[in-house]
Amino acid sequence: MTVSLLFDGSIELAGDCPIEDAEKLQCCLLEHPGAAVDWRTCTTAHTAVIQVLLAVAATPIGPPQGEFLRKHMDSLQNA
Amino acid sequence: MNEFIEQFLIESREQVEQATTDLLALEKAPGEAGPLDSAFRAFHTLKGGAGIVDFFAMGRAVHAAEDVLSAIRSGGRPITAQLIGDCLTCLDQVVQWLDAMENTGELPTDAEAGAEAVVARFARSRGEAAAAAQPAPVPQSATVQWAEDLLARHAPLRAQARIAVRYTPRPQCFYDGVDPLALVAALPGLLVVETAPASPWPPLDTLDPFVCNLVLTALTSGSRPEAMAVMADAATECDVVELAAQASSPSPALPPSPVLPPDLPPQAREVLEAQLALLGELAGRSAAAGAQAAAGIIASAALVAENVLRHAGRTAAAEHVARAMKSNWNAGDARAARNAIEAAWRAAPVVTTPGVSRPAALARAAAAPAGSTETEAAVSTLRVDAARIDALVKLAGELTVAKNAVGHAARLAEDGGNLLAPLLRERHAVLDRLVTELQQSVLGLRVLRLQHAFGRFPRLLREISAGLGKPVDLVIEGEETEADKVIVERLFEPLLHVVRNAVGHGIEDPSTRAAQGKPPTATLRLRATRHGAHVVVEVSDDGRGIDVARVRQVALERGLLDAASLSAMSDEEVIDLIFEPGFSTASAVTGLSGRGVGMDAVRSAVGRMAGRVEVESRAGKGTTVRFTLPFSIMMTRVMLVGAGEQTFGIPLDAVVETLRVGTDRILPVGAAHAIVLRDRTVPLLALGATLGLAEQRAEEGGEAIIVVISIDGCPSALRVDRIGERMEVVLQPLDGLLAGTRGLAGSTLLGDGSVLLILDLGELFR
Repeated sequence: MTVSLLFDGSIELAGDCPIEDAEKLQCCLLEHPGAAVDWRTCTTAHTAVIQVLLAVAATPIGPPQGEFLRKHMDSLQNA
Repeated sequence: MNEFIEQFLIESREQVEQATTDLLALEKAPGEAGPLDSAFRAFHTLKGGAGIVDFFAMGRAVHAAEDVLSAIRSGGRPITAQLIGDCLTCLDQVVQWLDAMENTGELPTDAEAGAEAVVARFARSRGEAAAAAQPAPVPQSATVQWAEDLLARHAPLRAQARIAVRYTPRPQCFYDGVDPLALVAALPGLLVVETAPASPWPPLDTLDPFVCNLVLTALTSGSRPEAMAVMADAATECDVVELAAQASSPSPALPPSPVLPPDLPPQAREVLEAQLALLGELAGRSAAAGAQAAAGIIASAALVAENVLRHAGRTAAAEHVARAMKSNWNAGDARAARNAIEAAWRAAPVVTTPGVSRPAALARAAAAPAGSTETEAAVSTLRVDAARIDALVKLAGELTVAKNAVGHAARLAEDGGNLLAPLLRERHAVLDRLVTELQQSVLGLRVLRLQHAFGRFPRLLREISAGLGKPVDLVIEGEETEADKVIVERLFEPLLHVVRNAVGHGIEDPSTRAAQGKPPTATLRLRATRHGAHVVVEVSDDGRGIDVARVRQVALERGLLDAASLSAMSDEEVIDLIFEPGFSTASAVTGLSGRGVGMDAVRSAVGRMAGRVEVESRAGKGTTVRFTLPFSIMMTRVMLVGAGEQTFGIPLDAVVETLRVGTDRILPVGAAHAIVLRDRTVPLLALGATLGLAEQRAEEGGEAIIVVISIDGCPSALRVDRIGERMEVVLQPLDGLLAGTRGLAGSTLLGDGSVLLILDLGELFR
């Protein structure tokens, strides 16, 4: 599981998040609307996962570990 | 013709066909997302193809249609008949261009005007719909506008940025294992990435996370070929704009990119490394592993490396590797190949791609070989030139002849009491089975689905019914039924004839239908089924049916038959008269309720395919025209008959029965003969006399051998001297001196090497 719901109600993306995580993330966000997403330990994320974040205009808690995410998905950080 | 253009033509026609089907489906069920997505994809692919062959005018025209569909997809525009019509017009224009290219092998030079007309048509309908829809102006320079906007948002990167990439992944791309962001991340010299939704984000609970709804834009400091190498699989979904002209001072100092060999993309490096590791491992293993296995590994490693280098544009290095492999792999010596790969690997400057984490790149490299086998597995259909298949069919035919010859030899051996006879017979049986199987497989190659003939009707019917103001629902059944290519191709014309007639004459206008308690929208049914060696295609309508009394009257007026014979005919026989040449003329047609327009042409077209056509009609209920066609016209089943010293073949399909009758039952009727069979007078021809051969021999016991055949449903009798075996033959059309000989349908070779002439019974009895 690279998507997990933490005690404090936030959702954590950790490690390499494959495409399947998109659905898990979507479910978590639907069950806990407005939950914060923490991707500080996330190294890579499939486009589908990023897409879910974009769709809910999430502002994940960062910076993420992966370089690409850190450098190029900053629009998510600032959105 | 340039092979790109050739490929482009084939693929574009497929896409046009697909788009047409989708658009018509969309018009019927505007709420369905499936056809909309599919149509959008088809237009998108058309645009991509046009881009590949540099056919920019077509690209613009198709782009306009794609835009409209995109707006529909995002809910910005409603689907209207006019929009569908505009898209279809766009496809018509594309087909015209494709036809022109097919003839000349070149891009049409006058395509601009056509493209403008299409774009203007969409612009006009957009103007009309403007009140309802969001304005979606797409100026022609838009392709560059987005790049400029992107650059403007990242002004500090202006000096470094050499290209801008806009990548709109197809919605289903995730299912094909594509990770668009990972692709973009692998772009050499990536400077910045922006993401935007392709259509506005839906609420989270209705979002399908596995449908890609993103447009990715990026600026890179790499070159266009480098970017294209990375995006190769998604090339049709990418716009790449070179910013060289727009960039300020530093770039002119750089040498133009094509001169430098493109850098190796990181994946290519990874793959090369993997090959090196493989070869290194091999060197470490004992010789006992077997030189053959080693040679295989070397060859495959070198081939992978060669392909990777070629793909990355490093042709010289690729050739070096290929040469090294050729010289040494047989000996199981990995060194040469390894050195060559290593040299190529070293020579390539290391490109650091921002943001590609090592694990991801490794995973990609590891996935690469698996991915390539996947593509191989996906290509389960092959495009083969029809001429090659025909050559194969001909060969299989000759093999059949050779097989028959073995059968003949076996019979000779048996008759002569030769000891080899049982062996020969046994071999012949094996050969017979194999050749028959081969023949069937080869003929199977020429098989097409009837969809190829049916597929054009939704579109045509839309026009025909709109033109006549008669709404018609088309129901197509059994389009997956298969038949020989020639049959499917030749079927279209007669079918179209019948469909036109059905809508023009058979189907009433909506008010008449309503008055009769019928639904105002008529139903036209195209139906195909396979019956053994035949394919039956039916066109049925629920119109007024054929007015039998009127047909009788017209037949009388045209002098086809006299009143006495007409009154003796059943309704079915009378209806069949519409197929008679000379029955329908323009004046007769307008007055006639129903069919008549050139139905004789339909019958003769079907006859040329060795098929038959009949019509069934019920007053007020509708008409069905039924085509019965052979599955293949390459193979014909014949029965051998003898006249005098000669043997001929007659198509077995036509044979109803064979019988022996007393010669006294043959009655002279004027200069001809006839025979009464089951209370019916049937015309009789003596084969020998008709062909000008020896006079018919006197039968012992006063018996004559008669073959009863059916020609267009009418029984006729043929008197022959002998009846021989039945066989399957490959009919060769007559050519040379014999071409056009009346009464002969073709020839084939017999087992003993002699030529068998196949008779055209229709002509003999005419």
